[in-house]
Amino acid sequence: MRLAGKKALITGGGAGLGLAMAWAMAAEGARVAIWEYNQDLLPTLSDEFPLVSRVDVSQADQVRRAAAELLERWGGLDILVNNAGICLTGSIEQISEQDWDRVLAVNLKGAFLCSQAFAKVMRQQGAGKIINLGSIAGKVGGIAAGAHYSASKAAVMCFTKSLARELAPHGVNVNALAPGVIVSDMTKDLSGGDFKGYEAGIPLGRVGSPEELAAVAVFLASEESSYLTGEIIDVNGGQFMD
Amino acid sequence: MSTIPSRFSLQGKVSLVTGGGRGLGQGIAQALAESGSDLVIAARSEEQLAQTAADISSQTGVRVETVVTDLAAPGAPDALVDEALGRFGRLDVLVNNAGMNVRKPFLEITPEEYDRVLALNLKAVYFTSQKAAQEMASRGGGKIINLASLSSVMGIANISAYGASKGGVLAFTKALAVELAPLGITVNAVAPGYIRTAMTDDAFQDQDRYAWMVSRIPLGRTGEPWDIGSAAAFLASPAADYLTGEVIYVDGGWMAA
Repeated sequence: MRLAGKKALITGGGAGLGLAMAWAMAAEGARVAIWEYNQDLLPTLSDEFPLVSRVDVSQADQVRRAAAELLERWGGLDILVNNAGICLTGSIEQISEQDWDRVLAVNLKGAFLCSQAFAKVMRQQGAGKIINLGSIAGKVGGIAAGAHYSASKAAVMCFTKSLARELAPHGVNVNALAPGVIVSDMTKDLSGGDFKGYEAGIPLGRVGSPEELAAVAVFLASEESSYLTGEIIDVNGGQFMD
Repeated sequence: MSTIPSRFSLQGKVSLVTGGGRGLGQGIAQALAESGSDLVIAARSEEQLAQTAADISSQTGVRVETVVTDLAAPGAPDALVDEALGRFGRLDVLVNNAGMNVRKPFLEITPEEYDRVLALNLKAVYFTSQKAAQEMASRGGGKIINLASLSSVMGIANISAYGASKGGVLAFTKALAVELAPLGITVNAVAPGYIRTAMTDDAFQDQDRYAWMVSRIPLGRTGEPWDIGSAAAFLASPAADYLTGEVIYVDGGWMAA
């Protein structure tokens, strides 16, 4: 039970990678809160996790309200996973301003707002783990996703390093995962439901499972990784090596 | 479907750690044992190996075999892997940790010093991996973990031959990852930052240099062998099954700063 007694929050934890990470951390003994945008998912989640809130992470007032509620109930937070994110496609000529703004708002501003909401309490605790979701797309300029998605993920990974430097003196570790192609609704939409096309470009010859991604998140959330900060861990089957 | 707690377990596995008698190798061996792996630890010093083996097996209950060897000697890598297989009949994880440094200005390094550093840090890693990979391939899979370094990607003064060898290890890790992937073998590396061990002790003695080092590390402290061990144990476990060709920097944030 590597996370026994730890309080964790997964944004976008209602489905896909977020839900897999929520389960993985709960299995390791963590108390897991979920923030989720999709209202339809909330009832089932509420049966399974102790604290579930409907939050659009791109909206500062919603983030601050939900953070205040969480801190009131729990008194602190040990692990923050900034997972909430959206992926849109589109060529440079197709991407609307609205699409651009929305992707950056959820993926990048969301990570900023949520980190900001909990940075103070983690500083006061003298301890904390922030785990951001980068992406292979943020390193190679995207595979199927639009340039807005790739740019947002590259920015999240740089934000990770800046935040790591800033919070290190306070005992807070800030790291990121850079998933490759992991099975989820997001990647099923991108791939048209068929992952075979990706496999040839992946040394391990297969796409990844959410459980495999979640296991790496657990490593970053646990004491075992206390000397890592500002680090981006690729989970991509060797699809890109830097 | 395996559950998350068992994804970190090395129960039933056998790991070979070179340079396992002290320093990072000892930390790595300890961490692998704590995750449940039996061990073969190899080094030049019989005494250090015996002590480390006794400590680890008494603390964790795993079986620890020792092999005295100088990996820079001709044929030593093959002989070591054969010996490890002879003791356990299987090899699941290879950690190429044995390494050395000659701390001297580039303009003063001799060809003999260069050869010694490259022989242990790169050539021995290459051929131990080759022999181990043959065995792992025949059993359908395995994991190879190399020790890279900050000096693999950053220029650090007075360790030019070491840096060259570690740059080589980094490139080799990726090349091997690509080639061995179809055989079910993943190949990754841990890149330690500034960790206190016998190899770094003399550099750390210099008070001014030590203070400068720590001031540059975001987490404000040098690391311990345990930090490197934990990362190696993670890479050795099923939790890292979808990682290959990956280098994990365990450096207190040095690379981000």
